[in-house]
Amino acid sequence: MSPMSTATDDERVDTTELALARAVLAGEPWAQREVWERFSPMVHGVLRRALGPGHDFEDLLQDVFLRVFDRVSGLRDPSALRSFIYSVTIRVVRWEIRRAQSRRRRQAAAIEHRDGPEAVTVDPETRDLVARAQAVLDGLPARERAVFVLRHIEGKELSEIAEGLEISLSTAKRWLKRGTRRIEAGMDRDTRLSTLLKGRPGQ
Amino acid sequence: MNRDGSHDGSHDASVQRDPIEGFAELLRHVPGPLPARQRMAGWQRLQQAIAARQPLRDDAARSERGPSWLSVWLSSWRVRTAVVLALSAIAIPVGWRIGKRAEPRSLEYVVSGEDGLDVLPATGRVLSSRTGRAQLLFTDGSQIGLHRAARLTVASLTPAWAAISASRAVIPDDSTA
Repeated sequence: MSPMSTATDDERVDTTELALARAVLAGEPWAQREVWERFSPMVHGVLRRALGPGHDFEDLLQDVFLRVFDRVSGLRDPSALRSFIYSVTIRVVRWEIRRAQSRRRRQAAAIEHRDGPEAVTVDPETRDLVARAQAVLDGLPARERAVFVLRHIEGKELSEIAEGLEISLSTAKRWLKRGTRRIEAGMDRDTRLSTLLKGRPGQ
Repeated sequence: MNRDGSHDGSHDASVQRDPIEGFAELLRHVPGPLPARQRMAGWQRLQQAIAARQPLRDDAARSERGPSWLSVWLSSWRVRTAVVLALSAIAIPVGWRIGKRAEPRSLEYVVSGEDGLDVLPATGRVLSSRTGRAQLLFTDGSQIGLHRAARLTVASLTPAWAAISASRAVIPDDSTA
C-alpha cells in the first residue's frame, strides 16, 4: 500500500492511527514525531501532485505540520486525524497557489521546473508514461490542477475540496470540468498516453 | 492504487478503464517515497520551529478561521457578475445625479402676483402685467416688478446672469438679474 490516502482510507481508520491521535491530543511527547513519520510522506505527495513544479515543498511540508500541531488540540474526533491533516494540507495548497500567482505577477517570469518526475522506481516504460502524464498535468493552470489532483488522485469529495480551497461548490465543479477537459486534450495529443488510456492513438 | 485502495500492480490494467482514472493511476506513482534522511531533517527543523514558535512563512499569522461566507459566495462568477451589475445599477444613476448637481445650474424664474405663480417657458416669451403687480422672481433672489402694460422678455439665462430686454419696466436698485 502506498503512503497515499484515498477516501476509502479515510473511512477505514486504523486503530493505531486512532491511538496516535489520542496520544497527540493527550500531549504525549513521542506522538508528534510519530505523526510526522506517518503522515509527512502523504502530505508531501499531495503537495507535489497538487501544486506541480516550482514550489519549495520542504517549506510547505513544515507549514502544514506546524499548523497541524498548533490546531490539533481543537480536534474533537480523534478518528478524524487523517482528514484533519488533509484539510490543513488543502488549505496550504490554496495559499501557495495564491502566493505563486502573486510571485508570477511580480516577477513576470516562468517558474523554473526544478522538480523532475520522481516516480516510484518502476520499469522504464511506466516511468516514461508517468513522465508523459506529469507533463500533461503540468500544463494545467494551478487552480484546475489542484482540484483535479485532489478529486481524481487523492479521491477527495468536491465539497471537501471546495471548503479547503475556499471556493463555492459550483466553482470547484467548473474548475474540475475544465481541468478534466484539458487533461483529455493533453492525452489526445500524446499518442502513447492515448493508446494506453483510451485504447486508440491520439490525434 | 485504485479508488478502492487496492493495487493492480501494472499500468496495463488501466486500458479498459475510464481514461481519467487510468491517468490518475499513473500519477499516483509521483512522487516517490519521502527519503528517510529528508524526513529526519524535516523533523529536526520542525522541532526547532515548534520550540521557537516562529512562523516559517509570511502567512503564518493568517487567521485559521474557516472560509468566510463572503469569499465563498463571491468565488462564483455568476454571483460576481450579479453583484457588479447590481452595484452598477445603483452607482450609475447616483453618479449621474451627483454629477448633475455639481454642474452650475442656470437661473430660473417664475412670474408672481396676478394669478398666483405662473411657471413660464424660460426664455423668449414677452411678459406683461394687467394689474401692474406682477413680479419676476429669480432663483438667485433677484426680483423684477412689472408695471401695467410693460413689455419684457427674458432673452437668455445663464448660471450667473439673465439677459432681459424690456420696453417698459422698473428695475429695483438691488436687483442683480
